[in-house]
Amino acid sequence: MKSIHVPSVFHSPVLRGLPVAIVLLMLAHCAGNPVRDKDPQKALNDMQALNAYTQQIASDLLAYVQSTAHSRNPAEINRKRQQLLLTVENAILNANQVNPYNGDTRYKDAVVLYLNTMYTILREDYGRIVDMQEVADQSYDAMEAYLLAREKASEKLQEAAVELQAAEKQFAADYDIQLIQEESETALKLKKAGDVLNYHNRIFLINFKSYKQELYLLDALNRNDVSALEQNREKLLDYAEEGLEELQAIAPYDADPSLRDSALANLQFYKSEAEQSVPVLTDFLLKQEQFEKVRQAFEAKSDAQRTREEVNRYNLLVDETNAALRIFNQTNERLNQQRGQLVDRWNQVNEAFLRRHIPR
Amino acid sequence: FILEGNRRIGYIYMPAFYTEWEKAGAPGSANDVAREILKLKQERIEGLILDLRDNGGGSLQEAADLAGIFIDEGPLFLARDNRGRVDLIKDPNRGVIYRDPLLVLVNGNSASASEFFAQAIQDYRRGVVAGSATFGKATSQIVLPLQRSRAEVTQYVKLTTHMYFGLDGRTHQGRGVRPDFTLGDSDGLSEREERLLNYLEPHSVERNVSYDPWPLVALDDARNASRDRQARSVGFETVGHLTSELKDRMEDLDEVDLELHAFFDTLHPLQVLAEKYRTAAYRSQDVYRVRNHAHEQRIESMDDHRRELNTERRSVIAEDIYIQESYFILNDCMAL
Repeated sequence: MKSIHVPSVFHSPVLRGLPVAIVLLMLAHCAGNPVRDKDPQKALNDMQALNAYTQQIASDLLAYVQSTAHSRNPAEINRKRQQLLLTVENAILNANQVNPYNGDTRYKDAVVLYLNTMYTILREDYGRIVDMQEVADQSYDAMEAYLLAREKASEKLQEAAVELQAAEKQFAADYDIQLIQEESETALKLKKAGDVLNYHNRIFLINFKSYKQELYLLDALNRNDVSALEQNREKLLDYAEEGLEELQAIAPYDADPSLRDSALANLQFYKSEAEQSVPVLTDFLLKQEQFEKVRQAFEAKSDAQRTREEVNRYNLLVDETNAALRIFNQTNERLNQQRGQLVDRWNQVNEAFLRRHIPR
Repeated sequence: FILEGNRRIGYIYMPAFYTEWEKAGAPGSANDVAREILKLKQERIEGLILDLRDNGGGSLQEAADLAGIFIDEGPLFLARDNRGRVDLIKDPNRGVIYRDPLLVLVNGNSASASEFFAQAIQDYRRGVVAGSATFGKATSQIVLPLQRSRAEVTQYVKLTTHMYFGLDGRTHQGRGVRPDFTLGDSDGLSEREERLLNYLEPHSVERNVSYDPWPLVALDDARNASRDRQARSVGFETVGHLTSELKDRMEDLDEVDLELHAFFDTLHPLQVLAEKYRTAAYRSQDVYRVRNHAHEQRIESMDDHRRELNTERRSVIAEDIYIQESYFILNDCMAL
């Protein structure tokens, strides 16, 4: 029986933190030395040829992931990404040129599919593997569409990974090749990075859902669109409450609660904003409308036509509207300040979390 | 307005789907309705009647915005252009403003944007539609100048550019939106259905659309109750008789003598009938009283003209047999 060594990272969950992180599933094959026994040698040659670039992909991927976490130089991060893309391109070219033993293309097809899917995701060319019409139907803007497309693309990669794993097992079984799992240092680091990014991505998405909803709310407020303001407020409250429940069920990562706690603080802010602060703003907008209509009617009359009672009522409304305006401005100012502080904190915590936990 | 009886029901009449293109943010009818709903919610209404009778339509965007007030998120209707491309018109905002029982009142003059809105409410089962079949306009047009230079423009062409479909892929063009509760009126006069159905080319689109309608509620008991009430109602009975009489007279109008006296003798009885028809649809009742919400009362207290208008409107709303029946239907639906 022939043997091929398979790192345990092959069985890692799909990583969604960075598009490239999803790729970690691929890194199954840091092939060890095959035991040459019978003629399944040719089949083994196939496996080794198809996985010739696996180690290179693994190390380039790790370098890229490490640079996103530890480097402050965008040019360097981009350089690592380009290197990774080049390596995957070469892996695809190489795999396409392999002449499958016995005309048996199952394993080759699965490898090529996986590599192509990975390449598409690395290039963020999601339209090639995802129904973008469906994504557009479900999204409200480009950012939502991007994240939804990324999620659907990662599902495609997961499917390709499952097919690859099954094809590998079947191929090995058919040609009497033993698959042995191994844990190289690169594979272990990638697995750890994958875990970190999965955790990060999960919390990021919970936070992002409410963050984006608040942006719609703020846009409606700027346009004085009471209808959109109220609809988005209601939805923000839903998302914030839903998110708080999800976050409370997530444990700190490796005894580090910082990311989760920062997201909790954000969502508590959104909840309070939707429940208590925005109704105050809406009340003012309705008050303002009422005042405008009364003012027009009042000014349409001459002094002589106005009764004492009407003048008193008008003055009362002026006082009420001014008071409501003061509260409106104070509320807005307070929200802007709190929001700014929370966003700064969130960005700092995100950076620090990745730097702390992504292995160097 | 608020119809205050054993239930407190809000009532809003929308004359058109207007929009103010020239203002920043393009405020319009949907925003105005949203503001009114917020004021009505402050008075804790239990249900809402949205009256779109004789609403000939207007801005499609306003129809989508209005539907979004009641529908959380998702597609509303489909639009096909003259090249066959099908686009999905979606609820522009996630979230709703109003979740309680809703009744949309329509008639044969409710057209275009009114129909898109009513259809969306039916597709999502978000509320019930009462009245008579709507007009049946599911197309939109643009007006283009025939001359190139603006200074020379004297002639225009009105071009149909889009046809619209419900989420099931079918269009209401020529057919109208069918109400869940039929309220007898003059809709039978036109015999539209019989005349047109034979000539209508069937239109539909195929497009996978995913949306979450509200749960299905059996309306048979409520429908039967409504039919019984209308059968016992003097107002609806009178409307029915007048409709038949008007229909018979109109069928005799193959030729009209244009000589002044002869013309008067032919048309005057129709005018008398039309006036009887109009007054037949108003009957006093003691089931609920009509008032304005507190927000409006404050404005009214400072504006004599507005106060007069509101007084007249309250009286008309209180006596309108279609609004009365809508109040009863909503009560029955709330009990389901």
